Amino acid sequence: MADITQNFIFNPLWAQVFALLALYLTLRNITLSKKLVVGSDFQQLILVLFFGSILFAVLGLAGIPAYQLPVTLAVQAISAGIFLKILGRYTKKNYYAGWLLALNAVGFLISVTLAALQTAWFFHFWESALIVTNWGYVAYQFYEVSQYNTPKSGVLLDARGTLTKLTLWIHAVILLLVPFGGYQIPLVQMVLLPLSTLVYLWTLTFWHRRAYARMSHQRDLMEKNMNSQYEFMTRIGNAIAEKLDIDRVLDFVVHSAVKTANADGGAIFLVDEFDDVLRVKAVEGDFPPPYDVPAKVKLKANNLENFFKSTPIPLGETIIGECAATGKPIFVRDSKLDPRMVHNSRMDQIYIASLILTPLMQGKKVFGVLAIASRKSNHLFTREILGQIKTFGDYTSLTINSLYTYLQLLEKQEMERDLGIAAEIQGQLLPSHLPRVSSISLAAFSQPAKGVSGDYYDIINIRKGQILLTVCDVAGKGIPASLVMVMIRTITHLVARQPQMTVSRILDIVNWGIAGRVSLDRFATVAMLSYDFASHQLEYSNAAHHPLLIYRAEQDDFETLDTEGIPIGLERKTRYNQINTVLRKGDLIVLYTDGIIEAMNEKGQQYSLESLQVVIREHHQESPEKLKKLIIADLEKFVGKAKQHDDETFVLMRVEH
Amino acid sequence: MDLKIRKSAETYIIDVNGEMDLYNSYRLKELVMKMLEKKVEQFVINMENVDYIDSSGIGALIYICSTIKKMNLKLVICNIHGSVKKVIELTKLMGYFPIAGTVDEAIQKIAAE
Repeated sequence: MADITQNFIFNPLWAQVFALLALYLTLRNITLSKKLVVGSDFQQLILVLFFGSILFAVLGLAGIPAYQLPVTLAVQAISAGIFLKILGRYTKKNYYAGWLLALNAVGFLISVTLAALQTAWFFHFWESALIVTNWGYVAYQFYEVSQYNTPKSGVLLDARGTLTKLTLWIHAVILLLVPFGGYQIPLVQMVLLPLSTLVYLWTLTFWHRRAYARMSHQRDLMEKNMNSQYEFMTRIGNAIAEKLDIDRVLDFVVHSAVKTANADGGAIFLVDEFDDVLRVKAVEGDFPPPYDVPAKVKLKANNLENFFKSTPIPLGETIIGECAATGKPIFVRDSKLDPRMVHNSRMDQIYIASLILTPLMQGKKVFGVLAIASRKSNHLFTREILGQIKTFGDYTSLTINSLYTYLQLLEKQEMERDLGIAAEIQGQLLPSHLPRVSSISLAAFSQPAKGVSGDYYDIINIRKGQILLTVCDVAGKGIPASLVMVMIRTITHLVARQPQMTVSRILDIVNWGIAGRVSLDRFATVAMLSYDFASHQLEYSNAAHHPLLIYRAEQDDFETLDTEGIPIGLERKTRYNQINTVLRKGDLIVLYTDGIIEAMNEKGQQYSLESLQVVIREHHQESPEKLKKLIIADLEKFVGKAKQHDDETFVLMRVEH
Repeated sequence: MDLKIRKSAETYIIDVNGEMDLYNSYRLKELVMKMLEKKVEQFVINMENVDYIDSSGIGALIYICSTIKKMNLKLVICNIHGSVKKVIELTKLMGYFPIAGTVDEAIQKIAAE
């Protein structure tokens, strides 16, 4: 004990402080210049203590008064332990060697105390204990280094790992030599043992520094990535906001992809829906075809460009077709190493060094391919760029999908506005009141689905004692359909009153007037009848509408009348037939559109002609106006809460005398 | 409604999936017009997966059918069934449209003409 105190007191303190300060500054410089990121001030202080203890040990060996040897060892152990602890906090790892070292240090101190108290037995006991902890420490270090030194850890320490192992072996050999007094040799104790710890710490620190550098590199890349992607998204959004133009969006996408990847050129290919081929849509920079082209084409840049733009690529053929067919990105990092690029030679006009293709998808369907190429063999694309281009592709797909949806929505909105105008026109078309005559009584009902109808009915007094009834169903809705109604109505009103006119003749003329003048898909089915009060004669002509339904009061039964003929508006030369019958008192005729008998309930069942007949038969003696209400009520009861999907129209006429 | 195109020799088969109504029938029309521009000459419209058609759908078919007739090209509509068949029967267009039972029959019909 006296020795320690003496050494302590006689140590030239200023020299020690100076030495520590010099060490601290040196280390600080090293750590700063090499970016030793674990180098907090506290940790550096610990390192200083560690190196200091080695320095003093060497000084002690050289005969210069320094710390007592066991104390130096204890300082080493404690400082190395703390160092590992801090390193562990940064690397999120547990270095148990640190705890073993701390245990070791306690052992050193106790053994020093026991030695000073001159209790030999305890001295030996503690020395044995010390050796045991030392073994543990060495064994653990072995384990740890072997862990890091595998490919699985992601860190190959290579030469450093080997060096660490070497020093650990020396440590182990020294421990083996303990029974022979090897441990007592000052050089061994003072220098070799700390050396193994030193190498170990250095290795760990190096590993950590490398891991950190890799991490921060990735973070920088990610940040750059995020920035370029954010910019891409903002600008693609602006491009859409400015003008709803898909071509412009595509141009912008290629431009951004080429810029981000620092590529020489890029292109977007779109799938032609019905040819199963891909066509070049947007090209940026220098993007040669990534497949072999005829030699003649290669000679002139102009030819090459024309060839590329005008030659479609079948799905599944060439590397681009492959990308579209599989829906998976293709990454040709180095064209020299890819069998798909064998046609590619460096002297060639169409040389490509590195290529990335990514599909543009709508759901699971590929609608295009985004491609970028580098033509410089010293600039090959990396995995990071691949990731970025994939993201670009995904985002482009998303944008174009929304754009399509939006355009469809716009179209639908326009259609709906159109329907509003049409509804207004139709309001003017239907008769405002029904003729009142004593021979017959009438009722009419028309209910459009979604506010605008394709149905039209009319009741016209042709001349005294004769009435004309018509019901028609025009294909489609909106203004074009309304215009067809206007035409039917106008022509019918114009010709119906002419002498010798028959219903079939009216249909002929209506058809002649409309066919070829309106778009072919604006056809109409028309049922038309005239009834003469005096003769009770009914004429009926049908242009592909539902047959006429007649309730015969006398027989209490139904009869249907029909004639041949295709819808109005298809062929100019169509001639319609007519059929005549005689009505009696109480007979009821029903003109209706398919919206009535095909009205659906929530179960998807249709109202049917039979249901209509049941109501009519049951209430035939009621006035048509009353019967109309009963039919509507029955229909509503059947349909329940289901949505009306088609226009519903019917006209009733009963012979009163 | 979803439209798909496949090819059998020189004949293009359009598979129509879903309902053909006011809001989408124009798409079939547009597609056929586009195909005509590209000099397609033989068409089969497969209605196997169409369970509902309204008058606009019929209108579209009439438009397509008459346009193709006028150009002296070939069209057959096949697999008409259920309510679609009923509507076409009702509008007396069974004779107006060139109709076949199945896609194969439609192709044969075109080849035979």
